[in-house]
Amino acid sequence: MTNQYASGAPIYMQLVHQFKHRIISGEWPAGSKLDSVRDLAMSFEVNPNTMQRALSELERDDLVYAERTTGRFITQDKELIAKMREEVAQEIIETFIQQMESIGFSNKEAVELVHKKATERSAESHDKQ
Amino acid sequence: MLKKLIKYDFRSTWREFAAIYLSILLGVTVFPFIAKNVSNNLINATMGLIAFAIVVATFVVTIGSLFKIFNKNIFSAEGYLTMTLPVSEIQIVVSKLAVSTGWIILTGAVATLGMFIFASVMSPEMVPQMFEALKQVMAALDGRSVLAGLLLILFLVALILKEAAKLFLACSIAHLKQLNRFRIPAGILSFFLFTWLEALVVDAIGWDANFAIGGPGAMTTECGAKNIITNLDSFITALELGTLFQMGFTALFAAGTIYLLKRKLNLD
Amino acid sequence: MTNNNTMPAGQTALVEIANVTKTYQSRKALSALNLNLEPGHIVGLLGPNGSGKTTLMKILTGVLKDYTGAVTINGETVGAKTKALVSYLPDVSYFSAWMRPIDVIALFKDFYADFDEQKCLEMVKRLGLDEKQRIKTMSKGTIEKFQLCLVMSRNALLYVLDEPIGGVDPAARDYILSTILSNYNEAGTIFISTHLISDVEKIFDTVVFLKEGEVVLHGEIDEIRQREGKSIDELFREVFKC
Repeated sequence: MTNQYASGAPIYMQLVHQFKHRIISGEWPAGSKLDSVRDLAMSFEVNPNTMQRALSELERDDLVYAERTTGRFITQDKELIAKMREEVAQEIIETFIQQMESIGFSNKEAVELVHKKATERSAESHDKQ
Repeated sequence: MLKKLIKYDFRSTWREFAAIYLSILLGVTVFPFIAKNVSNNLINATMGLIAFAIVVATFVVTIGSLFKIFNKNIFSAEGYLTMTLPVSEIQIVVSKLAVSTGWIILTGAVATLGMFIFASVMSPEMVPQMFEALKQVMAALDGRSVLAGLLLILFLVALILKEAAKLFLACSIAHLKQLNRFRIPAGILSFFLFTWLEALVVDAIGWDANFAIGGPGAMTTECGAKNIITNLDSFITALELGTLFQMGFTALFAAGTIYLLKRKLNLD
Repeated sequence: MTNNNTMPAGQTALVEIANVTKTYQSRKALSALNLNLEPGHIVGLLGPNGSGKTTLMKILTGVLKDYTGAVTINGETVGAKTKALVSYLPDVSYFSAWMRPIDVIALFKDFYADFDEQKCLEMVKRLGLDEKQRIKTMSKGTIEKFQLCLVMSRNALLYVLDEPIGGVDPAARDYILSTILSNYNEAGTIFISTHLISDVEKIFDTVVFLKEGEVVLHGEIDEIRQREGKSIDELFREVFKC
């Protein structure tokens, strides 16, 4: 199957993680309607109960809300999404710094490398145009 | 559901019987024709051999089909389909008894028809005579002899039913897990044990054993035939008792089979 | 949920297996086994060869009657009534020599009120099977696929699937798993035995580990993953280490 799940963590938590990413990246826009649990379970190739649990988790964090008759929607609260986006960015940076430290880079050196890479990338995309 | 079961038990066996019936009918038409017109000994001998083969094949296919309908359909891998259908064990056994008996009767009918055709092809001049004889018999029939005839048919049907039920029970016993290593001897042994048991019961009641359990000598011997004609009333009584006897044992064997399927089934 | 005998009040088990023992010659295939399965779950039955998985499934489906203990499905002892509710994929091919797929589809339509003929024909087509080919001339994997089409085309309350993906190619495996998922409904239970745990564990919500005829673990998959910090596949390798 195409959907692979890491072995250590519960599958529903991995789903929550994936869904958050989709929400903050805009792949699932604010206010948009989600598929039914059944369809989501099918497309993510997981047990419907596991999917239900992941969605409940998102509901608890107010990222998703349920309307009794029409189904589930992504939150309209753009501020909340922005806040979460910020949080996730912090997590990524934290991980990055830790990893750089583990191979002997100071924070300053790490930032310089990031800056250099960013410049290269923008030049590349400029060339392509 | 019973109807559907019968339909599928029939569908799983009709091919073999169709082939056998076809070869019987072909044999009885072609052989006498060749026998009359060809004087080559070798061909005639071959024909005789083929005729013999057809007789043997009829026997083998009939017995084989009984096994196929019951043993194979329940105790082989096919059992995983048969025994998970939403039907009761009673329905399964009744269906298989009905289809087996049906086939045996039909085979008997086709064999009789075959002999008739054989005789007519062999000596066509006999046909009007045969019809004449049949007419006389029909004219001589009265209420009691018709009753006797019907009872005789009923008796034979009950006899076939009982033999099939006995075979099914023997198969079910052979498939008990405790007899795992001795299936074939266990099956054969229990079949003969039941036959012996029947004879024992007949002895105890004090009937003419040969007649009541339908021994081959009962109706075919000249003496038996004479008895029948001279003593229609006792013949009818014997048939009634005999039929009851067969039905009783059929019920007993079927009940045993149903019990084993219900409580002791153990598919590999 | 985690324990096999405790259940929330008011909820009845779909399958109740109480104190079931089955012996073959001198070997115990199942040993005083207790297990309840509730509706609305996809349950994985896992265990090494000879741990009693197939035996347990045979008892649930009524092809094995020679055991001690009590088994009920939807409150009924195993019989004609429960067989109408249970869709069984055995680990053998049960077709007769004369059968073609269309014959068996007709048979299923005749006997099972919950059989969806249209769905079955679609699956047969999707998996590229020839519905008019005599089944005995098909390859082993093709026969397995067809048998699965039949079983998954019933709208059963309980599916009992003995190694449903063991003999088929990976492409068909994906299709089969998604078919199993699509058959899920809240009233029913799908009970699956398998050796290919890593491929299948994400579609389970509950697993049962069977060892020498006894239940050694029964629980919700994500709870186990959280508690043990490893996948069910890894846990299996650890519990049943040779």
